Amino acid sequence: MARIHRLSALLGVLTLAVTGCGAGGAEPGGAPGATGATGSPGAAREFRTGLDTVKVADPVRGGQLVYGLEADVSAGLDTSKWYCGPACRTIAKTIYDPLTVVDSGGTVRPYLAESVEPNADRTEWTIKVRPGIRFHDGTPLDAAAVVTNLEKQRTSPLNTAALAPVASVTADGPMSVRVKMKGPSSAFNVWLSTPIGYIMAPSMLAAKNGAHNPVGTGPFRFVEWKAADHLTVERNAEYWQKGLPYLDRVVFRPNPDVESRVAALRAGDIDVMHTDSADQIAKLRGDTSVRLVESELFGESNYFQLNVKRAPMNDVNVRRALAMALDRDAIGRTRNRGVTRVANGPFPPGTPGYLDNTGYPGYDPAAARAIIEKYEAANGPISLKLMIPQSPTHAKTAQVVQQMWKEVGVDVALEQVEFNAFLERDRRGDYDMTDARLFGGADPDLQRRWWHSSGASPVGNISDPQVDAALDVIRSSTDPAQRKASAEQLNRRLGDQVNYLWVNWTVWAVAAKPDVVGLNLQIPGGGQAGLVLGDHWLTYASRKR
Amino acid sequence: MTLLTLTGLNVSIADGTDRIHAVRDVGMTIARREIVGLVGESGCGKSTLSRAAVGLRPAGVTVSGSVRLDDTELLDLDHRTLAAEVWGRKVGFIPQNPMGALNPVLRIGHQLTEHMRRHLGIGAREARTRAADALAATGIPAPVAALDKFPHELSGGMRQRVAIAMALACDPALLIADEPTTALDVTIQAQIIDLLVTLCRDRDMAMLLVSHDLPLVLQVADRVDVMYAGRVVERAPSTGLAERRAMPYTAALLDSVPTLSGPQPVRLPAIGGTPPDLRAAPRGCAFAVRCGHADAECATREPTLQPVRGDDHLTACLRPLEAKTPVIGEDETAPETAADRAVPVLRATDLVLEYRVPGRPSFRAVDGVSLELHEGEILGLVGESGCGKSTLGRALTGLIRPAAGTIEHPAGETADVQLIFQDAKGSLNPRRSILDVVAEPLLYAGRGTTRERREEAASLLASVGLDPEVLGRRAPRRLSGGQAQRVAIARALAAKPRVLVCDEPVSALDVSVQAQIINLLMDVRTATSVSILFIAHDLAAVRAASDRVAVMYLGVVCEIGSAEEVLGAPRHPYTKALVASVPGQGGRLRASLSGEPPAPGDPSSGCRFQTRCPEAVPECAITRPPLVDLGPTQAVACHVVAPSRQATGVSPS
Amino acid sequence: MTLASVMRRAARLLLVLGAISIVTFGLLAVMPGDPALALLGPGATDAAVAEVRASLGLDRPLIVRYGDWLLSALGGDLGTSYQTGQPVVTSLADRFPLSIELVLVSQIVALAVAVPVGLWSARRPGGIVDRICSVGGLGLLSLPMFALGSLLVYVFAVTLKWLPATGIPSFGDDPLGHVQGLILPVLSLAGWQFAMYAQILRGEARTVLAEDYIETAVLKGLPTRAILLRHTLKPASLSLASLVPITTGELIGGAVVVETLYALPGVGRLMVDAIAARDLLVLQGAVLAVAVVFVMLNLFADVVVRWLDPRIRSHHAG
Repeated sequence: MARIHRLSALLGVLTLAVTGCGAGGAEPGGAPGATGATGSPGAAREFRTGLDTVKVADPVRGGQLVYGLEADVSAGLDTSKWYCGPACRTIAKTIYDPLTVVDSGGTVRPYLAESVEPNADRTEWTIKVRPGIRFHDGTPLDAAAVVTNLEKQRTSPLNTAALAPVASVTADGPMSVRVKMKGPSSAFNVWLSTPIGYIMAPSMLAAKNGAHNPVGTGPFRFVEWKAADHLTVERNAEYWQKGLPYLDRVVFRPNPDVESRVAALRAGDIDVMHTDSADQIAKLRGDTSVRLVESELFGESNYFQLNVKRAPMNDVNVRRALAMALDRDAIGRTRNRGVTRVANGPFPPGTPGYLDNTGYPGYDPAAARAIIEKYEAANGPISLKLMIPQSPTHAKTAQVVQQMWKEVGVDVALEQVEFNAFLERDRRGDYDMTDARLFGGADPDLQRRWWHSSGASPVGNISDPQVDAALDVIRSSTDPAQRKASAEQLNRRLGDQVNYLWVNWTVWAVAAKPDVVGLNLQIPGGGQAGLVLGDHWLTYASRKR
Repeated sequence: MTLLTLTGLNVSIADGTDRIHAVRDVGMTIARREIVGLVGESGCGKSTLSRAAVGLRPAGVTVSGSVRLDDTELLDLDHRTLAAEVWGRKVGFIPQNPMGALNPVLRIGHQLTEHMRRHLGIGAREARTRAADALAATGIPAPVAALDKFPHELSGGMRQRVAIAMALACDPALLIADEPTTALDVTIQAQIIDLLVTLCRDRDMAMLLVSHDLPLVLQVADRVDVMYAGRVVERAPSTGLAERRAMPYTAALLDSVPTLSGPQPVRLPAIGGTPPDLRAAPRGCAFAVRCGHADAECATREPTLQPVRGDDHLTACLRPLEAKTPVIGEDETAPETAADRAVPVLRATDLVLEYRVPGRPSFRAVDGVSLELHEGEILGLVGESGCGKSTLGRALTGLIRPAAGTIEHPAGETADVQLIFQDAKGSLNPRRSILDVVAEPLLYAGRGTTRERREEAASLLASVGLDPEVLGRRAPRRLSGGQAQRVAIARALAAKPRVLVCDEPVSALDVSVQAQIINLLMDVRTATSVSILFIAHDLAAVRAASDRVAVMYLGVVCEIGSAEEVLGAPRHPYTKALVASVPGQGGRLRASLSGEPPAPGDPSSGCRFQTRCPEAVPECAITRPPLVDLGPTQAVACHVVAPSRQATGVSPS
Repeated sequence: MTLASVMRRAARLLLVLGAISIVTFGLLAVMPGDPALALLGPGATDAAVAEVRASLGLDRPLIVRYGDWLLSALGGDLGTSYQTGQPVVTSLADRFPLSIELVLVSQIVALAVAVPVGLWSARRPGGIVDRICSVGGLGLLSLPMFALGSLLVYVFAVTLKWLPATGIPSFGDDPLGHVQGLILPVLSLAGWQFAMYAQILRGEARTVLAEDYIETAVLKGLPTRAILLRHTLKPASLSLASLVPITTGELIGGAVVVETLYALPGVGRLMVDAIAARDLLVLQGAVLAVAVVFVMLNLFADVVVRWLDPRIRSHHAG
């Protein structure tokens, strides 16, 4: 057994060396050599990216990474067509470039775009396209290509709601795009950092099977996809950020079971993975053989979603009592092994709108019991159902909170539902309470669809003029301070109305073998990007010498 | 010249933490060309001895003493050497059960040649030729074709011939035959025994013939060893042993076997009690507790084998019998039974019973049988396997719907008919206590409370000679065969039936137990006036039990009448052949019928027996003979004995 | 087997497949959930869902969709996946070989170990092999497959690093890697199978060894090997052979677990993913293909049983 393994390891190294040398030699300016072969010595290097200077510690040109993902991208990589989740985004960001990026300070910076600027009242945005860039198929990136993308996004059922404020998208010169809004829209540039702003080649969008043959401007070009097995991208030698990427190839391997993914990382089958499983993060924290990068920035919130159109959840006092019954520290310990922080609203620290105190009620079972007793005396006993997706983690949490609610006199039955059915019933509002996770992102405007009463997909059926007003300011105001104040106001209102029972903010982590570097969350310009939905850049990843 | 010598042979078998001392200090010799019989009840150690005598020591079995075959001490050889040099080569083994003794999934040819190729070092082709010869020697028709068959494609008799051919294949000097005919029909039994003896004589083989059937052994063996409780208790030449037996146990074995000769006994002499538990060595004579002649000394001193009448007649008995002393049982005068009044309780008329297999022509197991069962009567029903007697019995209980004909209950009420099986243990629910098993029919009849039902069940158990206090709470699997049959009878009686159909109720039992069960059935009949249909292939048992006897051949009744007439003075050629095949008729056993019954359901016209009948006339091939009355009770269906011109119609009685 | 019986079986197979297709279609129709939701993700608007459903043809009545599907299925076209837009037939062709390889190799491994172990422990009841086999077998039987799989991964992949924890390269690309990748999944699948086979074989072989014909064979002077392999194994494997269709059902469940655990692109995961995404036609195709395999295995088991037991053979022939 051992001998076989050694033999195959040798074969593997040979393969790597051969492919690594070939690609490395072809790239002028790049550090020559393959993994562990003749990489350039020295400490941190500076890199001209065409944008800004990026510092990467001791990068090596060549080699490949195997990235374990939690899902296959069976629906393809056309972000204008179908929903692009964490796995999809991780791959998509190697093939496409977004028009903008948001740094950890919340500043929106142009990326594939040379600039994205609004007019004075934010009713019009002008996107200047960075010149001299070609798609992987050789076609040029120009205003027409961007228009095609944005039009496609706008007319797709996936994004009609998100892009509803857009009135028109037109080319305003060969390298300039004008986006007219229906009203003031001050966060449109933030939207362009999401998959909406990932620019795909018009040829791909026109092709019948384009979603499975993605073409972009990104650091890697698509090579092949084998369902449920792997998706391979290889270095784009003509990448517009000169000298990048370092790696020759990235192989994405779908592996839905997180424990199995961690085992694969430890066994050396994969080099990188990301996860939001607090269980696994807690385990990996103690593992010296693994490099772990964690982030809470722009992360989603875990919460219990109440259907406020139904009795007794339509009574704010009952909602408050349900909240006060929950010992969220205990939940965090049980469910998240102390990895996460107790949430008090939808905005984690560092995000505009975050407050140390949102007014959300704390743990007070005695007060909760008093409210419930009073309510039940008038309206009869409360009996609720908590709908949860089928998973051990959810079941474990649900049992804990079930007990907490029972202690204040609320009987809650558990209802485990298969995930697709969960989505369906969530959409139809067919539930009392659910265990949910949502929100997160760099700007509060991104959440408008969930909370605004005019929104197409309200979460928890909330309809609150104060919330609407705050969201309207966030969308239209040109003053960052005012936007921030509104976000905080919104946060307080949600805390006061207890529409959601906040539990914790999601922590995302990227775990890698120690010799993988540049899995940084830094973005051009030196800022740090949050791991929104776990996505991050492999543009700067390399293997350490 | 001595071939096999056993000296001080002890065999013990591990049984949980205990050891059963199955063979205790046995010495024995078999000379070349000698046929030695080894006889005793089941559990006496005869089968264990026969295996130890060839050095077979399975896991858990300890053998000590000496086994010398020629000049080789077999107990010094390991399993591998014995397999390579002795078994199959110097010693041939003929198993008891021809149905189970051949591997069902391997072709006959394979099973016949595999050990020849190993022992004789010959090739497949030569082994096949020799195998065909061996089959021919055992009287198998078309031996070459038989090589390519599987065991299930052959009849029981043919399979036993194959087993014999297998044992003969390497020309051994000694044959060990363990109950070689027990599972066979009586006519086939006679053929097989004939064959074995002839082969031994022709091929200069010696044979150890192990059997429970002392009359049979006496007819073919040169010498007989009678075993009891792991020891040889009597050893004598066969000739005259029936009269000269010295050990009361031997006498009991002889007497408890029903015979076809002499007056029909009212009760069979049966040995009471059961053989001793051999976990501990018995004190004194092991048979003493069951022996009518035992005295105080017998209970304390264990006798050794000593000459009793001359040097070649030995017995291990402190109180040997004089020649011709009756041991057990006194003749009684027959009590008046209801049967004498001939009131019919069950009447079958022109009954036709068929089995339907999808996609095949239906097969007619019973083809036009008419018969009556009288109140309080025991009607014996005999015939070879496949003659339809069991099917008929089941039809009378209502388990099978007749394809044609009628079953009436002339006594008025729909007479409750109960069925008793050969495998009594298998018919008892293993999860219930014996008391509950017996009470079951009462429950279905909705009679009484649980307590009352239990009490009635207890009295039923007592009436069949079982102690409800001791056995009532036990599970059926802990019963002996005889006890299980008694429980089955008690359960059948619980339903207060008018008719009991007993399908081979004693054929799986030891002779002494057989006698007890037959006696019990006769007692039950006397006490309750129940009518009994006694189905069996053992003519002597039927004669002992029955008032009247019906003989079946291939789905038809060929002779019916009183037991005395039919079995004492048979008229139908088939009945004659059957009777002649039974051992214990004095003189040498005669294999009076050659061949085997044709496939049942064969729709050929004429008399069914014509293919095997020694007396057949042309008429037999054309028309089927009707039952013709020969006297007040006897009727025969035969063109030769009772020409159909004189037929008075089909009358069962 | 005669032509007529082949035709009969083929007709029965078609009938079974038809029934299965209706049941699968019906089940997914009554199951809450929507393929559009899997494509649109969370927060899909009603309008978006309706539009996507229309584009997938899901707005038509169930019976019409089934009829359409049936017509094209009869022509060999099982439709296209909602998720990938690939023809279902292509997906199946991609995913089936690995699963079949997994299941077949596991069966062979399980049998190859179970036969000697089962026979040997039957020959020496209470002996060392027997005791290890019965204790270990019970352990394996009571251990859920994913637990066994995780244990194997932990020992051989994570700790010893002898074998990969996940994934399997195609044989053409990397024969050695393929074999290495197969080892742990096969052991996980075979563990349970082995335990069951060994237990059954041990029980059956014990019964067979107590048969008279074994004593006959012993007293014919046959060597132990011949007695075990010729006289014992064949009759004792009858129940094993008739068990194959049942264990196949277990194996399909096992394949799902193992393919998930080891991230293998087999048909088990295809089905799980298809259910999660309500990818009806893919599921339909996979279920039918599995049913065909199942029927073929039944047929095979039938043939084996006939070969093993001449009594059945002649009964059917008659």
